[in-house]
Amino acid sequence: MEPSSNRNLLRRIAIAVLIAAPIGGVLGYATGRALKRGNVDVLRDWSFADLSSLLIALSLIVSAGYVAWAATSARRWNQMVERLPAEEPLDPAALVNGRRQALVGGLAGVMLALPPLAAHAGLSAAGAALAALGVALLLGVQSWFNYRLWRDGDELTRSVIAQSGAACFWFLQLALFVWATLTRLDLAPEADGWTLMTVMMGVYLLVSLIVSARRGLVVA
Amino acid sequence: MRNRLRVLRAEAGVSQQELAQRLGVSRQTINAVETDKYDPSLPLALRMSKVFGVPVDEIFLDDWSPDGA
Repeated sequence: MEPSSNRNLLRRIAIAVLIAAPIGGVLGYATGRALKRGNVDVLRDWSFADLSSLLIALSLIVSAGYVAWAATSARRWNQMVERLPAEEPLDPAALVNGRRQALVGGLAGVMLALPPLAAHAGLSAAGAALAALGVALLLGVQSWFNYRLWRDGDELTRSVIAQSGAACFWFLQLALFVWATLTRLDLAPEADGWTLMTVMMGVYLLVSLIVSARRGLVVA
Repeated sequence: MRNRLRVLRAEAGVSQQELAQRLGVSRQTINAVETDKYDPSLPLALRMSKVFGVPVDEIFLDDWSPDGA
């Protein structure tokens, strides 16, 4: 990338942070105040990992909804995703790909939300087994569409998927090693499986977003 | 890597979408190459060379030389 493009991208990110950070701060404060005033006891039982996974699930479902809506027509796709004039000719495969991405993201969101919701719903053993079966079925469907995204994607798509996976592995194995060392030395608490999974999903989302933006798949 | 793809495409009078269809990739891939966000694979670079009828090193510009000059 040219130095000027890098500077432009950094400037856009800085502006976005400057605008979004105060809004996020105010919204976070308002939400905290509202929860405190509402005395929402039900949320006190929820671990940080459960709440984080719900937040990630919500963001996945909302962004999947955005992509699904954009993929309903070539005009919308051009305007909402590619930032092109509405009348620009569009390869129909781009819309199919967009619908698949929306489905994969939406299913990931549902699968991420189901376990903590089911765990807090006070289900019987049979109910919990049914929830696990539901997640397994969704996982099968989602994996199939993920495979189709890889198989039907061109070299840029595959490159972004591979680079995101490699970067995530590098970051997460580093973090896992440091954490495991600290817990082995009794310097940090043990982390449960759901916490590790939530961290992994959060890191993957962030890394894949950065890689996609750097490769021009996401218009920053 | 810097390249002249946008110039060659403009001279040939083809859109990103048309070029993408001829090369069997997405429009986003052509855009990413033109904006230096992605270096294409060797097979794709060779296909570009054939489409425009120019050597690969007339599309992709590399300052490196074997004698280090």
